[in-house]
Amino acid sequence: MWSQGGSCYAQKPYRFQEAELLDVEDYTTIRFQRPIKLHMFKMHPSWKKANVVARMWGALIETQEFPLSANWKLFYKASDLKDSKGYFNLYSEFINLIRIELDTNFRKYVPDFTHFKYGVLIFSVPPLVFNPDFQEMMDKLTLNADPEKETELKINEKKIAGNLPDEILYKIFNCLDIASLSRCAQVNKRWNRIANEPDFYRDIDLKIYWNKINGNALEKLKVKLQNVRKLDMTWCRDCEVGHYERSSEHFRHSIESILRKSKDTLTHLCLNYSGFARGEVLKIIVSCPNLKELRIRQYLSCSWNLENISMKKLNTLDVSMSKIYVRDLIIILKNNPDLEHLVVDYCENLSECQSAGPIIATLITHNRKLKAWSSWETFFRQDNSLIYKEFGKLVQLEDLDLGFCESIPYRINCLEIITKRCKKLKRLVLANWRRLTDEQLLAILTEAKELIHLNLANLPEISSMILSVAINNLPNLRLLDIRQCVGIDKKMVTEYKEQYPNITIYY
Amino acid sequence: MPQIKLQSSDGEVFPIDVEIAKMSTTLKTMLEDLGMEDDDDEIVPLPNVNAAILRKVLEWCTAHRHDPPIVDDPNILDTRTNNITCWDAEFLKVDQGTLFELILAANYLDIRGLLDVACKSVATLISGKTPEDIRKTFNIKNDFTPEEEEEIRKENECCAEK
Repeated sequence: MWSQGGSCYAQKPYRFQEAELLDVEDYTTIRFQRPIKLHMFKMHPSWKKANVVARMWGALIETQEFPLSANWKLFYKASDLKDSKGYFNLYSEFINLIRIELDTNFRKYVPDFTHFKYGVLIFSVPPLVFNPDFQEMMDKLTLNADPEKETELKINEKKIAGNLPDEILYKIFNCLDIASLSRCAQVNKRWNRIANEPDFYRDIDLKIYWNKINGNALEKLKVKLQNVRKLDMTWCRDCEVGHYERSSEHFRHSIESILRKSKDTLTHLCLNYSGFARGEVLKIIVSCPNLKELRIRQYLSCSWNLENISMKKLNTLDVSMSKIYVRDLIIILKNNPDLEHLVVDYCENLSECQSAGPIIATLITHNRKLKAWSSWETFFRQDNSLIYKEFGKLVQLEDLDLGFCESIPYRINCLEIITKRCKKLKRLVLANWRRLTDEQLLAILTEAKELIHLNLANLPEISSMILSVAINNLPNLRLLDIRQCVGIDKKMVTEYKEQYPNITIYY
Repeated sequence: MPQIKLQSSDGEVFPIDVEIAKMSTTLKTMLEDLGMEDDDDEIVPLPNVNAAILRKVLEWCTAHRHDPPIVDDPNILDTRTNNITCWDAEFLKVDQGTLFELILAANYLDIRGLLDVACKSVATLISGKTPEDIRKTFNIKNDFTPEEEEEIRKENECCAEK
């Protein structure tokens, strides 16, 4: 989950909890206006099929008949990631909410999950005329933990773990994750004392407990987390408060206290889709002097409090889907000269600003180490594309995602300038640059020899020639996205797919 | 190849290469401090380790004699349980008593690699078990009062399951 990469190409799976856990980062929730019984759930996205679904939950919440019922049930859990069947047969009870957790292991070959919402087909009783409402929600759940397999070993009565000295127990506990530590703490007094040692809680993923985190739980964790270095609280919000609601006072107080206590040790913090990254919490975050990676997708607060910023060592910043203002972003950029990965996908307030110019100018002056920029669907209305040629000054750039960012008009081919100067470019996303022509693209394809991932989805102007040039001219190419490129011949795509099985072509 | 002799608690003598003996930080320090390297006749007594365990320890050391030294890097968290090699996994398929004795011997002799891998092995025995299962497996007495137990259960319930 933590990665040095700020975007899809650079993402490496990082698992610090037990390895069999799926690496799930994104999820989506579908809500029905009235309860239904599921019979089948089918997805037909154009990439790999059901294997992006790691788990699927269903729940019945807040109907007139069942005003307080909010029990999530696990319907599906991926067992084999290679399972590529595109549907699940489900015979569920009445539910009105489905939560689908997606597996990001496949993400490096899947540009984004936004198309997900177009690809869902549900068969149910009664039949649906539905309008899926993609809201994230947090509710009380009951989670069925699978009993884990264990190795049987004979017990030798002579020597027992109770006799192992403390220093050995420390060593053993150091290999355990938070779930096992929580159980060890219940064994006896001695184990309890050792298992509560904050040293074991340095690298903590609370994301998988999103359905159980509340003020009380955080209060209990407070002491243990005082030296935490990597903390992931994706999806966590006060589970006792209904969805859409703000967190309780107690919850907010506890979270602020945890962050304040660990502010000097924190190096990685992830609060994606957590409802509480706002106000005071943001203030504490910018006072963390050692923070290297900060991910706060979809934080709601509008304004940061940046007068006394001590967060100056950032390597990775992801504020996708948030309402960050240009002025705040610029202050953060200026203070973090080591920044290598910046993700500002779907940032409304950036989209509403006049120009990307000031941001790019700041990057050129202050963040010359930048390796990855991603601004999918963050569209600067007043710009002309000439602005983007400035990216050419960031010579370390490896990953440039400008999907849906085409601006008008351009006489100079800014992309040619970028690819000429950024020799390390490995991933380039130009989806929906609708005016892009063969001629302009050819200039890119002759320069960017290092490209591994090229996304040209939805470019109506380009012809089949681009396909052959891309494949023949880019020796490292592994993923080519030409979905909805109406000018490209289908037969030719099929031929190339057969001829080059090592290159994934989305068409 | 210079050798030294180790004597187990039950009197058995093991002649071994100095190179292998030095994988134990305890023996290495002792050999260097006492200048025993040239003296083949000296016997080093190990009163805390019996012959069966010492044989096991030496088997591990011989197999790992070419391992690179372990470097402590706080940025690499390689303490999790998933990186036991096949050889080590096979080697550690022993009864629990032997496993604990191996840990104590590795700790006493200060053989870092063996200690790490044996502790990881115990950790895999613990992970996934309920507190009651852990007590049974390791034959540990529950010394909480029922009230304390309930309180501690509540305190830890949030993250006790996945």
